[in-house]
Amino acid sequence: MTTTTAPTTTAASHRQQDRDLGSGSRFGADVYELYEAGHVAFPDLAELYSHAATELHHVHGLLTGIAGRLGRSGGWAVADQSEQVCDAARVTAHRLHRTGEALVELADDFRRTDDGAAHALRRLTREHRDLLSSAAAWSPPPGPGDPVGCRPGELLDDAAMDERLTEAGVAPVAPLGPLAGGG
Amino acid sequence: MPDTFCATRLRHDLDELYDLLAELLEIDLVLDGLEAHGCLTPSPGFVQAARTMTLGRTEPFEVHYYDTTGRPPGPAPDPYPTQRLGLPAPHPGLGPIDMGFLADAGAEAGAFRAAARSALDQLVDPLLRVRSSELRSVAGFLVELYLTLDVSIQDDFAGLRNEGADWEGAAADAFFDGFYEPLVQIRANHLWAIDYLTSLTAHLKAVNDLGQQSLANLVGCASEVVRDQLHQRHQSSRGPSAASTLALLTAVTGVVGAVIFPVAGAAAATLGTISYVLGYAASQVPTDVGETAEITAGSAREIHTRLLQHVHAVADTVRQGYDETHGHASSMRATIASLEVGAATGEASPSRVGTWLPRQPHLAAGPGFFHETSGRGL
Repeated sequence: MTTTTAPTTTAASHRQQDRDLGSGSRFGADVYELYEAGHVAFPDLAELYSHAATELHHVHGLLTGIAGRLGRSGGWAVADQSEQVCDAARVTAHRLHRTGEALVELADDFRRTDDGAAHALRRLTREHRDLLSSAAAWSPPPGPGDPVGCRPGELLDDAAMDERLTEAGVAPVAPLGPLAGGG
Repeated sequence: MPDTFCATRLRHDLDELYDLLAELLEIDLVLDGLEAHGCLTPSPGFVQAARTMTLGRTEPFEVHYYDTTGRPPGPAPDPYPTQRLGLPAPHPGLGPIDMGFLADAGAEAGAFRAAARSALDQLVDPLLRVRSSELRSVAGFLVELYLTLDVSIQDDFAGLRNEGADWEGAAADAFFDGFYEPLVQIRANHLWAIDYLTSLTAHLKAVNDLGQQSLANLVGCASEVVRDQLHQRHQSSRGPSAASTLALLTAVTGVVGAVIFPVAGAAAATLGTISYVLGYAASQVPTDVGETAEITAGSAREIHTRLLQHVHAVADTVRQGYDETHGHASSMRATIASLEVGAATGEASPSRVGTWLPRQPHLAAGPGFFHETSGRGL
């Protein structure tokens, strides 16, 4: 008879163990951290990468047009590299976005297993509702072969570019020393 | 930044140059024809009418010539003057000289202009297809993107580093060790790639700009020589003229060589040098980069030949420059391939974590992902 009851006991034990995921206020607080990360930080970064992929898609379109007119393999090689970097930004954006969604689902699953966690999550989401509502909306990056749209905004002129480089701690320099007079 | 080089202006300058070369050639053909037909000097003992012809348009000048072999003094024409008077025969026959060479000179100069310009255009056209500002725009987009990503991404962007230790299980380890922590290096590698792409673009731009500026310099140099030749004709002289300029003739060095390509894993960005190159290369062939190209010539054909040789050298050098760009792009591709393979996670673990793309983690509450406050393992 034990042969018929043992599997049931084991399965029940596994289910119980599966649902024994954590408990208490510290557990609840950490579940909230996962929720916030998935709801705010990951979408923000995913959106940043989506923006980067869009920019690089535009750059790839420009470089492809230039390569066609240069008529040398060097131009095509640079265009190919821009596509590779664009692909990396696009894939990273999608994976960050999906991971953010998965973290929110994970936090939701954890919340269901423990009343303390559910209570803590409710309280913390209330306290941080402004932060949570500020999450970036997901806009998927263009895919390979999508048309290159017009890029809004002004391009930096030399002075503005040098200013931004300096702000970022990347001082304009000449090949053999500091640049005098802005080139 | 507006382009300092204008392809339309260069084409206009080329038109003007070849107009001048055709003018010089026509002048020389007429002068040579007059001399060959003995029209420049009178035949002694003959009555000849001196004629005047205006040559040239840039610096017009008059040429006096004789268009008949003349006739001896006296009322009646003498069919055999040279034999009777024992004078040297200036021309093979008597009577009017065939002055058709004057019209032929114009046609020959026109044909030369068309053929010479066509030969030069075949070399020049490929060098004029990309505007400097196009490549500068690309580099500008990349620099903006680099700066945006650089300041926007924090190492522990989701604030999970401290909480990470409280989550346990294989899936939790995979998430934190295989996804979240490697993002720091992945993001650094993406910045490196954008930096490198900016260097590649600056390299293309420097080659393109220096090639175009070299063309402009050479056309200016040839124009200087042809104008001096036309002035010499005006002064009844036909000696050689010489001029020199800077051009990219044998090697892509200097500014192009100064484009720094970043090394993956190094902290310093190279965008500062790039900004220098972007502004510098577009303005003029620098003295420390260009080589001296000389054009010494005494005729339109010589000027064209020397110009063609120099432009050929520039076109070859530009092609080498783009091939060099290709080599740098190949290095970037190889580096990315090594980043995709990644580095070993530690001596104890044989697995490797790629640092080019984040590995998608599998997240689900269960045995692979739980909190340390659970009863497990206690």
